[in-house]
Amino acid sequence: MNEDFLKQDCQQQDELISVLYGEASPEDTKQFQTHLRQCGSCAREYEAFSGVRSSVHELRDLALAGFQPQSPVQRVERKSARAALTSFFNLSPVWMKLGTAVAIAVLCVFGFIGFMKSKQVVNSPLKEAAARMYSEAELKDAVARAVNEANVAARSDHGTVGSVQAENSSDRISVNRIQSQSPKNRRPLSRYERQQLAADLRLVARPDEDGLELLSDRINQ
Amino acid sequence: MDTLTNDETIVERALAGDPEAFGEIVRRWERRIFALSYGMLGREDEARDATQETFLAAFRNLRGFRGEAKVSSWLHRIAVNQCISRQRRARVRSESAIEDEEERHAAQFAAPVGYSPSHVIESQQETDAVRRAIQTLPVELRQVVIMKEFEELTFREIAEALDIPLSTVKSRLYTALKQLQMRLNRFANDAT
Repeated sequence: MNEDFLKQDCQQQDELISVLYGEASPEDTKQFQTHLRQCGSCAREYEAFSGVRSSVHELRDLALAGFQPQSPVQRVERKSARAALTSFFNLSPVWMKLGTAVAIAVLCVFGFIGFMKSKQVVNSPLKEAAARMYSEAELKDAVARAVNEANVAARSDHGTVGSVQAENSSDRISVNRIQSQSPKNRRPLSRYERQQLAADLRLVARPDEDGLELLSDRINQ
Repeated sequence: MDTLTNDETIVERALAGDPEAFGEIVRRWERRIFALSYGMLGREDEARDATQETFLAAFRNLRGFRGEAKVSSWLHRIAVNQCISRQRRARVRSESAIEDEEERHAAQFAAPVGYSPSHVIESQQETDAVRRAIQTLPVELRQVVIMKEFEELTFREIAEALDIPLSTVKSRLYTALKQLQMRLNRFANDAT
């Protein structure tokens, strides 16, 4: 090791480094080159550093010669769903294409049927009734009403049988009897009764009353 | 500087969601970061891993880049940190194992065609000596040598990347070259 190599008599290290790496201004470079001709210590140091640099460059060149760009963040091409499906169909065999088409058609049909059924279920009164919530009081009321109606119907059946037997002698049904029944307990009128009632109320013209103007006609007019 | 403007623009594009933009940054700086990693670590496989980790770390922290420093400085800082942490991890492992790997690695350089075996061995020994000399430098000296010699950054760029004064870059470079010279002389004396 050279002794004067370690001596730092010249405090021109910054200039040496700047010139060595070509980052000094032309004026500073010229001044330092003049200094190098006069200072053996700096000249030897400059030469030694140049040698070190060329050795380092050899190593660098060898290292970078084996370098192959290998981007760590590689772009992954992402196809759209449609493009992916298209390429899939292009690659798949004919039987798979046909099978897929049939499967899609069957699925569509089932889907349509299912949709229509669900629509019907939604609109059915049964579903509405099932969906409806009853309170306890409403339920009791409904049960009582049903029992009452059943009783009335049973009673009216007995009455009708008796009255029919009693009225067999007469052609006309007593309007008063029908009217006396409360609307709640009234049973549905038979066809004969309805005709009789209409005749009584003069809503239907008798054969001898054809020329008369009916009340309903007048109202309708 | 055109590069600076372009780098910043590319980063802005990457932040805006352009998938190509960060790839452009990688393509632009990959070689230099690899060179820096190689210089710091002295091994090609380690350097390659460190390069990948550097760009992955940069990608993850892209939103943290505020544009106060150059993209290159930012990347170099990440790369240096990656290399230092890799070296720390390597130190934990068996030193002898690393030496063996280094010896094996030293022989993997392809010899130029037409060189005599003695020249190849001599050349390999020389490059190996330089590599060892660089590896034995203190980290702060090694950084500046690698950034200057391997990446060919300017003093100002190194100062920005390492966040140190310009004069410190020069003095560290001077000291590093001096220590390298001494180590190479020692290796040369040992060889003879």
